[in-house]
Amino acid sequence: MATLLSTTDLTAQFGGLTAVDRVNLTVEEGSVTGLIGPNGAGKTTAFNMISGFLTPTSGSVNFAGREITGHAPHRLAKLGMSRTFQHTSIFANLTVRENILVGMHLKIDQPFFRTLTGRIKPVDEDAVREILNLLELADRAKIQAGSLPYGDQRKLEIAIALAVGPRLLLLDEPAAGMNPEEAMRLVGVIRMIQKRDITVLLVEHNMRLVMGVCDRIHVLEHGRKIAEGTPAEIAANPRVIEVYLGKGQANA
Amino acid sequence: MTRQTLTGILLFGLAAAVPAFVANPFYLHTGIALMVNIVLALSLNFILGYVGEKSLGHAAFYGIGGYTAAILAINYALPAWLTLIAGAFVSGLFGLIVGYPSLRLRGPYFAIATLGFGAILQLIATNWVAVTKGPMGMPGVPPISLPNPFGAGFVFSTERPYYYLALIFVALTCWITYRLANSRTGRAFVAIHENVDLAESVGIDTFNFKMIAFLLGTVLAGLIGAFNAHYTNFISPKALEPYLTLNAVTMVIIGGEGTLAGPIVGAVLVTFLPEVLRVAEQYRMVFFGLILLISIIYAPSGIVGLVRNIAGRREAARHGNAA
Ligand SMILES: Nc1ncnc2c1ncn2[C@@H]1O[C@H](COP(=O)(O)OP(=O)(O)OP(=O)(O)O)[C@@H](O)[C@H]1O
Ligand SMILES: [Mg+2]
Repeated sequence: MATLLSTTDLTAQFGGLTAVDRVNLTVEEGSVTGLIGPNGAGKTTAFNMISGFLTPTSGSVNFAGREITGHAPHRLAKLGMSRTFQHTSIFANLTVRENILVGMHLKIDQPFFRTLTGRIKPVDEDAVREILNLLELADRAKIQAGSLPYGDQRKLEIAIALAVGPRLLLLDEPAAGMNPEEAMRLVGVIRMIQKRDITVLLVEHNMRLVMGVCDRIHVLEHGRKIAEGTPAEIAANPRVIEVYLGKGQANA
Repeated sequence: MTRQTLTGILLFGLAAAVPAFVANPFYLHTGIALMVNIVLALSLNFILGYVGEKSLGHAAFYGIGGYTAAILAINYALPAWLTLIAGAFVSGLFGLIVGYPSLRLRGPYFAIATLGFGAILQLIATNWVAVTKGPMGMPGVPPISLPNPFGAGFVFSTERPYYYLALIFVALTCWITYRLANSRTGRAFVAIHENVDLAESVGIDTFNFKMIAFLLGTVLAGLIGAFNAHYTNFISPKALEPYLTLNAVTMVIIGGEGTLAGPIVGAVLVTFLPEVLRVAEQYRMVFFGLILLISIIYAPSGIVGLVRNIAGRREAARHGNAA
C-alpha cells in the first residue's frame, strides 16, 4: 500500500506550550487509521495542521505525493482532503439537503458568470441521495439542520465531508455525544466509507469504536507520539495502558 | 413556473403600468426614489446579507458612482450610457482596493476598512474643491440621453423615462440576486455566513466569494449612484453621508438579510415610514437607528423572517407536528 498522508516532525507551539511535538504520522492509502490519546494530547491540533487550519510551527505535511504544509483548507479540499470538527459544525440554518449541496461545492459545475447569463447545469441529485442514504438521513432532507437531534447532526457532519468527494477523510471525535447504539452504527458507516476507497484518519475516545474499525493506531500523549501499531498491539502496549489507566494499574 | 417567479413578473408588470395611470410627476418621482433605494439595498445585501460581512461604508460606493458620472459628464461631456458604466466600474475598482486587503483577514478589519473608507471619501468630496466643487456639490449634471445615430438623441426630459430606466435596474438587480441565490455561488455566500471554517473545509475559496459579493454590490451601488446624479442633475458630499449607509443597512436588516424580498420590503419602509410618521429631517438618523436596534433584538431575520416563521408554524400545525 502507498502512503497517502505523512507528517514529518510536525510541531505546534502556543506560546510556551508545545501542543504537538515532532510528530511523525503515516496513513496508508485505503486504511482506517486511528489517532488516540488522552484529553489535551494534541490530536485536534495535529488535525488542524494537516487540514490547513493551523500553520505548523515547524515540520511538514505530505499528502498524495506533494508537500502541502501551510496550504489553505479550500486548496486541500481540492486535492482530496476533507474533515469534520470536534465541536459540531454544520450549516445550522440550511436544510439537510442544502448542507450536502454546499459540501458538493467543488463538484457542482455552475460558474459565476454562467449563473448570471445562461442555463446552469442542475445538481446531481443521485449523488445527493446516495450520501443521504449512506448516513441514514434521507427522510430528513428538508429539515433545518440546526433542529436535528444531536446524533443526526453528527452524522450530517460526516455527510458534508463525504460530499466533498475526498480521498482522505479526517474525523475528529465523530461519536462524541452519540448514544452507544449510534456509536456502534458508526462502525458500519466507517467501513462503508472505507469500501468506497476513501482513507480515514480517525480521532476518537470511544475505544470500542476505535478498536473495532481501525487498521492501525497512533497514540499521542502530551504532544508526543508514544506508540504505533495494530489495535491488538496497542491494546497490549504497557505504555499505552499506563497512559490510559494511570500508573500502577498497567497490570490490572 | 414557481410561485416566486410569478409574483416577480406580476409585480414588475404592475410597476411598469404605473406611469400609464399616474400622471402626477411627484408620484413618479417617489417611485424613482424608491427604486434607487431598492437597488441600493439589494446591492448591499450581497455582502451584508448573504455573506454576512459588515460593510459599513456603502454610501461611499454610491457616491463614487455619482461623482464619476458627474465629473465625466460635466467636464468631458461624455454620453450618459458611458458615464453610467464608468460610475459602476470606478466604484467596483474602489471595492477591489478596499476589499482585497481587508476581506482576507478574520475579525473586524473589513468593517473598519469600509467605515474608514466612507469617512475618507466624504472628506475628499468636501475638500478637494478643484475636482468636486467642495461642500456645495456639483449642479448641472446633464440629463440622460440615448444616442441616435440618425438624428437628435432622445433626452430624458420628464420623470417617465427615468422611471423605466430605474425599473430596468431594479429588474437587473433582482435577476442577479435571484439567479445567484439558487446557484453554487449563492450557496457559497450563505455557507460563509453560516460557518466560515466548514465552508473552507469543503473547498469554498471563502476570500474569493467574499470578493465576488462585495464587487457585485459596489458595482451596482456605483451604477445607481451614477443614475441618481443624472436624474437629480446634482451630486454633493451628501451622497456619501453615513446617514445613507445607515439607511441601506436598515433596509437590509429590517426587511430580512440574505433574501430577495427582504431588502425590497426594507426599502419600501425606509422610503415611506418617515413620511408617513412625519419624522422631522434632523431626527431621522435617530429614528432609523432605533428601528434598526429594535429589529436586531426582536426580529434578527427581519420582516421576511417573521412572516416565514409564522407561515412555517402554520404549515407545521397543519401537518400535525411541531418540527
Ligand atoms: N489555539 C490554541 N491556543 C493555545 N493553546 C491551545 C490552542 N489549541 C490547543 N491548545 C492547547 O494545546 C493542547 C492540545 O490541545 P488539543 O485540542 O489538540 O488536544 P486534543 O488531543 O484534541 O484533546 P481532546 O481529546 O480534549 O479534544 C491543549 O493543552 C490545549 O489547551
Ligand atoms: Mg480534540
